[in-house]
Amino acid sequence: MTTSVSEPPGPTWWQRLPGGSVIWIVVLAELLTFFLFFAAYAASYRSDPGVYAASQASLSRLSGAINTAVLLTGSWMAARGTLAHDQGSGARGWWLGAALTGVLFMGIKISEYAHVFGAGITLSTNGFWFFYLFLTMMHLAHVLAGIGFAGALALRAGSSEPSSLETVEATATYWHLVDLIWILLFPLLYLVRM
Amino acid sequence: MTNLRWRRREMDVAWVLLVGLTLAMFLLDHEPLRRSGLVVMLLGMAVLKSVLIGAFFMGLGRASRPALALLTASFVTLGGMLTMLLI
Repeated sequence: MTTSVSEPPGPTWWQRLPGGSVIWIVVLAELLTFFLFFAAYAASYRSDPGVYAASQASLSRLSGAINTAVLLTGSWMAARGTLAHDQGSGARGWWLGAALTGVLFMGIKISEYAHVFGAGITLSTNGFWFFYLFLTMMHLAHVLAGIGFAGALALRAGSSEPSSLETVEATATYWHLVDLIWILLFPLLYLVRM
Repeated sequence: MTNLRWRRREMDVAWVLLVGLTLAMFLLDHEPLRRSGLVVMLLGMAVLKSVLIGAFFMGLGRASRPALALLTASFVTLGGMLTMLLI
């Protein structure tokens, strides 16, 4: 007599998402929110290209490019930190490095704001400055949260109660989300002109 | 162990490509190189960078290809939409 034993079904693709499915709902919601603002910015740019281009020209593209490289380095460190956690050693240094890149990003951004506010520019100066200040400050708040998450992982790594792999992956996914948003903000706000 | 070494190498190569693309975007945005197609090029590079991050840093390339496809489709759509709005 033969019996057939059916294999239990494997995890579906959304169950295989790194960090669990909840963080990916957050990712999609955040991306959708920022995408709507990007579309509003692009539509607004077209309505007054002269003012937008003139305002944009006063931004430091070098600062924007350096900040992009800094965030990408943080993202790379978060990815390596996740791998190190999975291997069981060396995660603390990577996560501390990721948090420090966030701090460096904030320092560069605050020095940019000091220059902008020093020139008497506010949210109501014109459409470009509204979008620039609003979008970059909203993004900066996300970076600040990311620094807290990465710092907490660095503190817990190597302790008697290290974080679970899912928590580490969820934190890394959040950090990459912050990077993804900046990847689009940089060309839109600093580079693309008509 | 070999698999882990390859994953580390993939991440390192992705980081070099991403920083290289950022440098290219910065260098392209100078007056002598500014042409009508620059908006498409810059947004195209941003979309490519987003896909690289999704595939190698977020780990979607290995763990969940449908999710990577979804993320790619979102960014390509956004890039196309922004190009149409900006040109």
